[in-house]
Amino acid sequence: MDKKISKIEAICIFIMLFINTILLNAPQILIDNCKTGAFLNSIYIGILAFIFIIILNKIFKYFPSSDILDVSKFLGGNILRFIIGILFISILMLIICVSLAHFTILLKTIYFRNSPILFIIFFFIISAFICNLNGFGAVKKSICFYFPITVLTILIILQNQISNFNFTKITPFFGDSFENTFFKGTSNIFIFTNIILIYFLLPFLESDKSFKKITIISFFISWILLVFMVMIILNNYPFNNTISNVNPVYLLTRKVELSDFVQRSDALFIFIWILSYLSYITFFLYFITLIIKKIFTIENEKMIVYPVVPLIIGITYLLIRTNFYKFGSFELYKNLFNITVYIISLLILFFAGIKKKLI
Amino acid sequence: MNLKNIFMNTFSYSPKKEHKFILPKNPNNMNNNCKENTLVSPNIKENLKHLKIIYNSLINSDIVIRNFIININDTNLKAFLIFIDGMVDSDSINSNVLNPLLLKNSITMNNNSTKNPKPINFKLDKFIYKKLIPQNSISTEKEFNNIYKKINSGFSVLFVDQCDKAFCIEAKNIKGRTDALPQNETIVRGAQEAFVENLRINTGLIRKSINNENLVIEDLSVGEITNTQVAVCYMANLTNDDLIAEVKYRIQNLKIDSLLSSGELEQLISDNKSIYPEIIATERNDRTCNYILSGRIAIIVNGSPYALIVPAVFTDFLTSQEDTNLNNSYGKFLRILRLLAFLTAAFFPGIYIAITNYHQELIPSELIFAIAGAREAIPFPGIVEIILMEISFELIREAGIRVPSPFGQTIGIIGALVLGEAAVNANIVSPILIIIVAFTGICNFAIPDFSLSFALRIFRFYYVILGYIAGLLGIAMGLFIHFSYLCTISSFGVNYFTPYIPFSSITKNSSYTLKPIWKREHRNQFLNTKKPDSEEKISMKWKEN
Repeated sequence: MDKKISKIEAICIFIMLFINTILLNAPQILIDNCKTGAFLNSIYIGILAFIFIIILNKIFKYFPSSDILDVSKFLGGNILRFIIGILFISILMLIICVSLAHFTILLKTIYFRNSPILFIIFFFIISAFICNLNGFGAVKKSICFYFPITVLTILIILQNQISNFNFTKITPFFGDSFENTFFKGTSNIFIFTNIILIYFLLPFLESDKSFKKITIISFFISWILLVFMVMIILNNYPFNNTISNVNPVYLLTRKVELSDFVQRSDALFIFIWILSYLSYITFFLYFITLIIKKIFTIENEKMIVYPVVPLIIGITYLLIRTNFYKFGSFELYKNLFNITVYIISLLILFFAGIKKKLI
Repeated sequence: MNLKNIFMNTFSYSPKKEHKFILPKNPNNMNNNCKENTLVSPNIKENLKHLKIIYNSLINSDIVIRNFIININDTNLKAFLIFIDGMVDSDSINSNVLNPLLLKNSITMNNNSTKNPKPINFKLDKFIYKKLIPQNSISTEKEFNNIYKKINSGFSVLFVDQCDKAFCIEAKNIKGRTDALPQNETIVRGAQEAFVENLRINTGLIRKSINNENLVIEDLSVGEITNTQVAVCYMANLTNDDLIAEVKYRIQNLKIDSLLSSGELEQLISDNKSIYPEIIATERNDRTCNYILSGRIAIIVNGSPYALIVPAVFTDFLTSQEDTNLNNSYGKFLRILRLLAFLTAAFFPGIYIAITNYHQELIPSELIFAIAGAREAIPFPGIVEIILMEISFELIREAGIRVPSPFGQTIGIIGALVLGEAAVNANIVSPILIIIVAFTGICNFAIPDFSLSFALRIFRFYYVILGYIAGLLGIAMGLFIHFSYLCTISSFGVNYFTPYIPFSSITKNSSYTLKPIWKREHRNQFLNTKKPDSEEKISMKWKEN
């Protein structure tokens, strides 16, 4: 029973994953790419992602209780399943490593200037590792437990900034150019990291019937949050902020006034986001082990986490030491994600659907 | 050898042989051979000899064997009664067993016996059972193993010559408390009645509160040597059958020599070997009845004044019987207060260390200056200061429990002086730390469950260390691991954080903060009871009329 996810839990997980993407750097990426056009771009890529989700829903109807690995096996046997598995593992590894690099650098900049970066990385990875050893039940419950307080932090930020909102600050609506916002900006669809979950969700659901509801409701909430956060950040920091290591969402928390007793509440926000982020990497770490388990047909998934953890530590450390996390990794991740999630996987589903109809 | 030694060896006393005791590795067990003889013999001499060996009657001072002769149909039959002194009611034995057997010895088997005589052993056991012993609770046993259990639990057993059965007569009177006030779960409004060490008194208390034929109290026996009676109490028309079966299965499959307390049983039947309590232990009869009526199972161990309630979830350990007795607004307030106390007891010292070391911006400048000013003369870092104080506090608390009661106040005075005035004046700790440790201690005392507060006392140290190492990051890490560990705990198939996590179990009447009594219509859904509703939709019918 602990392996199954209820409807509400699935929605929580879906939104929680996206909130973490927002908290890490998603709105900033849109602003960096499209400038003030980020507002329209966020709406545009949301529509594209929504159409994509509808298509996925249609095709997955033919494959009840199956994930993308099962569908790949159906279409191309073990070889195709292996290839797809490796691609998804690479994406998930990149998500964990790049986000970990960003978050640890942020923490080092704010609180732990004298501490070695490995020290901070270890804190995150050990937590994710232990939680994974406690099984999927612990992973999903952790996400659900931290979900309300994480959402609350986002709502506090939005509520705090909404009164200062000035529409003129997000103009011109097309940013640099129409082309940048709508044509080049299409690639920004990779922002919706949580779409990965859709490919693996069905076997976990208590009932396949709720799949459509879960994906659509959670996507809409995530999308609304993204649009609002982009608006708020544009309102406060309309210029490129990539050079500084400080996350703009974190900077917004410095403006939040809770009461006279709490002088600066940013530490409280960081505390909650650390918990939220821990559940985020724990969840993706679980999916890495799950995919490895499936493609290599290993019985005990808990054992897989042992070799994966040092690999993540090594890659993250390498990304930080080479500064690749800041410049190169982003493009690599974006292309890999878009090609795998939006093109290859969709084609596999499409052809597998045809094959199923023919059979 | 000098002169002094010669003198001492000659005139001083020395034992001839030094006494040395070595514990034999393979002690011979005489009684084991005797236990092979399992059936009662018609020859009373054999039975007597057998029991004398088994009970070591020559050296056992409280084993009473009363030999006598009874006359049935003009035939003298040897008989003996065996019981344990101190466990039986002597008056009852005299008036209900010995008196009828010895004084009615001229009674014949029936009125027509002179006309139609029958052999003496003809239905002898039934005759004794029906006509000679006017005791309400008698059973006949053929197997010695069962007879031992009866004798050990306070029964008197009668053996009669030519009869291959023994009569087990219940005339128990085990000395001990017969009534008690709650010592550890005191409440203002509610019954002032608690369990005692006697199992039957405890089950009687439950019966007194639940006057219903569906209340089942099943007796089980645990322990190869002690044969401790364990009563499993539940409502047959409410409690889930699988849950009952699981509880009985676990208790019946304990291969242990002895069971002396409910605390031992709790550890033996828990799902996980976690530091957190998974079974409710209560000394209150009303609380036990409340749980039984909600579809849970109470387990009572003979000799222990605590009932174990299964299954239990995390929020159960933050509730008190008083909550339901009071107006629901008071109950709500108390429960929220306890939750805050729980969080404070766990995190407050750790957060203090984290904030003072890493996140000073969180608190107003005036306060941070005050803390810095107070700590100016302290030679130790904050972590040493707080651990020193916490350990002192724990020691005082432990000493307060162990110390003989006349000295109890002294410990309090010493504690107050050492923790308060002296430590501050000697610049060992800062005054603010005294406030933190004292406040944490008070919060710990506000948690109703002893085991839960104990777990927090341990975890508090972890959080202090993590807060010192990495500030709020350390505490977040600790909390994350801690919570993921708690997620793995379950109590008799029920998740520890039910009904809140997973969300799917948030259903009717699952609120930690109490609903008004007329809205508590449903039993907890996670118990899967046979009768989900506990009251009608409109419980106060008088308002409708």
